[in-house]
Amino acid sequence: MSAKKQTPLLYQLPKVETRTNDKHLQLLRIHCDENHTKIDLGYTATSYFISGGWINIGADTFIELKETGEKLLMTKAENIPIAPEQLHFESTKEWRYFSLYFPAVPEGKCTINLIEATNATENDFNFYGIQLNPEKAEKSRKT
Amino acid sequence: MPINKSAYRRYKVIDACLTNSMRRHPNMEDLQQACWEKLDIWPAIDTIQKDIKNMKLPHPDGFDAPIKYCRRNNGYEYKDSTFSIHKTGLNAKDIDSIKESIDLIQSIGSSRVGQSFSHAMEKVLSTYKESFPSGDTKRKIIQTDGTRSSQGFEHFDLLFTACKDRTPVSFVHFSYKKRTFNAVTVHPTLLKEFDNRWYVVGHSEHHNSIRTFGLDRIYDPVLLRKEFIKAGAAKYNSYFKDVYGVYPIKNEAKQEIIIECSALVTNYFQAYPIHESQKIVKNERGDSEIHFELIPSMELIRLFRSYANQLRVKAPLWMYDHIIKTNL
Repeated sequence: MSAKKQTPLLYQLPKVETRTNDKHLQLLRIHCDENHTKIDLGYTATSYFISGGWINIGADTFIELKETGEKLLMTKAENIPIAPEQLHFESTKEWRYFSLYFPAVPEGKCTINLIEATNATENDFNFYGIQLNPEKAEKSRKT
Repeated sequence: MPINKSAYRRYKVIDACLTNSMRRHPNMEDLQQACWEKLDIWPAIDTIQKDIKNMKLPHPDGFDAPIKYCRRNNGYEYKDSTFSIHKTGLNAKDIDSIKESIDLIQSIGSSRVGQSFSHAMEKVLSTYKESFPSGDTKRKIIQTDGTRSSQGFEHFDLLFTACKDRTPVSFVHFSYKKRTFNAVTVHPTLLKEFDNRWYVVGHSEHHNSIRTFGLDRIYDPVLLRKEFIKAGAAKYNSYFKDVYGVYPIKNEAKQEIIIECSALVTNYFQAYPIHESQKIVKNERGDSEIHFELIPSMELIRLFRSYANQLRVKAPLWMYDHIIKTNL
């Protein structure tokens, strides 16, 4: 007997407790289905760095289930290079929309952390206490 | 004269009998019998004779069907054994018209709509063993502003489906002005092209109003399973009918807009009216006062500004002030 298929859920602008990099990075959406968890983020380049600086995502980035402590390692990054590669902006006025993929989180209400670096600096892409409540999610047709 | 529906149904039965290679040369009784079997009617001999006469009429009244009575076999046949009324009956002029239309649509649309249309027409034309006009081999005689690969155009099909099926869609939007991202749920109604750019228009849950989003600023649209919110038809009609461009200015109602133009600029407005409400009042020097009934929009202001000192906004006053200030 096959397991019941999980309805793909989409969290738009999910609530976050704390975070690093609060000026230039936005957590936009989280897609959850039985196969994976996809996190959509947006980064806006800044005049703080010459020509907007650069971005990448750490290869060891993971999401952590706050309730159980389970860690789910990033499986794919879309539209952003994985460190040590870097994406250099050409100006301080640029932006980048990108997505990170992880294994599926369990069905039901949970809280997750997105961790790029455990000893994070303000430049790392860490979000803590992201609330995933299926009652507040949209049901999507694809993820 | 248009062909009526019941006659057309009989033509189809007659055509099926004449193209049936298993039983060639049907006689009058065979045709009546076929109508009985297929249509549940027993047509009079006169009716069938009239049908055959009509089918033989040239386009567009008939099908130009080469039907003749074969005395040797005591039945009817098509002189051209490959003929059928289902083979659309395009003549050389029709084919040329289709080819020209394909060229035009590809030039104007330069989109997947154009491609789909081309493929559909390719099937029709292939029946006639016509080679499909290829852009590579044909001299380009129409040039439009169409850009081949604008950013975000890859979402066209999904957004088109969402508009057609009335499916809400979630996407990430980047605002050029605010330089921020947003994740929004939109109930899309229309895809609109203006000034060579594509926009999706619909009810935005986030803004709780009708909004326009440039496809170039949209990322990763996802179809949602939720009830579609249909904004009032009157609201949409006004939005589409009374706006020049795509971004109406917030809280501005439809109003009279009056501009004064030099003779040079008057010529352009006369040649290319920008809205159906446009009324030109010329004076003897050739310059003019032009009136519009429009909801002010960003694009309208941009257009006025593009004529610099050849055009002056007379009313409303705020628009005059805005143009003066932003020109400084």
